[in-house]
Amino acid sequence: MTAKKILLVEDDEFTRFMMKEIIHTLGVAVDVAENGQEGCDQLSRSPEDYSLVLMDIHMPKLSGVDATRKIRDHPNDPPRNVAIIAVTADEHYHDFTTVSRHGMDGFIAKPITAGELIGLVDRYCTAA
Amino acid sequence: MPTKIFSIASDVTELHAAKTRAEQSTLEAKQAMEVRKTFLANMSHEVRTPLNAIMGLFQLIQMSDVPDRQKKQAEVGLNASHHLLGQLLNVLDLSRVEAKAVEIVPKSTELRPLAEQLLETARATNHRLGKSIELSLEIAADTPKLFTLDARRVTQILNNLTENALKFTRKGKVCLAMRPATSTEPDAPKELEISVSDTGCGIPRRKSEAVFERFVQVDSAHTREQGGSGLGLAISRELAELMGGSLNVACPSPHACFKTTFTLRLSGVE
Repeated sequence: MTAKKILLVEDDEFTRFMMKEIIHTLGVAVDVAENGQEGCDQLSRSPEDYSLVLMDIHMPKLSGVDATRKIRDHPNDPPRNVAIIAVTADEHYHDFTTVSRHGMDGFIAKPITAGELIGLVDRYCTAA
Repeated sequence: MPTKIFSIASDVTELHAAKTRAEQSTLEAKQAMEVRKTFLANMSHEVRTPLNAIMGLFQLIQMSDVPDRQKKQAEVGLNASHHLLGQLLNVLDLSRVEAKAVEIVPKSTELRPLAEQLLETARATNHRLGKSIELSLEIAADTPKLFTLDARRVTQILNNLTENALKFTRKGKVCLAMRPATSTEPDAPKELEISVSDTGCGIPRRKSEAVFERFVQVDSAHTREQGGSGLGLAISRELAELMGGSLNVACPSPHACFKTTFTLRLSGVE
């Protein structure tokens, strides 16, 4: 399996920095997007690059839910079937059935635990 | 034949105006409630987001290759953040409950896994508080296995109760017990009774209602041993009542034991 990157879609600068730093300790590369629209654009530009999308839910311009729908409706695969994990403090999305219904593969609750994030990255990515 | 004409006239201007005013104020109250709900939702998000980053970074330092002393510093920073988050969520939760902005979503739920999860959380709390209190779970044999309840809210209440029990108990045990409520009336609605009892310091009987008041701790002296916002029980009772249940405390033997009983009215026992 070739080394692939993570696309982190998150509007909060502090959270982006923190998650990037944790993922870096695993030797996995991360690209960031600041809202759902940027995330979709980045994914369309380099669909082969990513094995996992970490998706915030509440974001300006395009929400994580809408961005996921857009990705799942994409004419090409990749990126259509890329793994998408919701990362959110919104308890409504702390439920597997709910996130599945929105086309996502799972969720991590905020405040995140480093262990949970690391476990997830291990499952979807191999270190470069 | 003379014709008589009767005429009754009443001035309804004032009545009409009063009605309009009443409608107007109901509308304004509704709008104020909506504004409050939106504010609470936003505040919750605005508070959790930066705390999420702070807590993640402390965890990162703990995992890093740094001297033990720094790891300890990061651990304290993380614990303090946890505490702050808990307090803020409590304040927000209470405001939400008071604004009736809490939705109760009952779903068919298996009791045993829910209870096991509660015990698991209690074990973690025990560890976090640096205590080794014995924890036990008792489910009466005649308790139905499946209930229709809002598992998230029931869990929130019971985690509050067990955390309190652990906080105020120095040594001994904390017991979580579940059983169908015994009622003397034959037609009474079915109820599930969940109690959390401990062998802690207990409270004077006259204080048994005061514990449900906001921001009240029984020992309010500055020298008190236990921290906390004094909101846990207030929120728990409000939530219990929203679910059609009740929450009460009892001290079977004063100064020796504390027992909170959460009774949940069940819309459908399966």
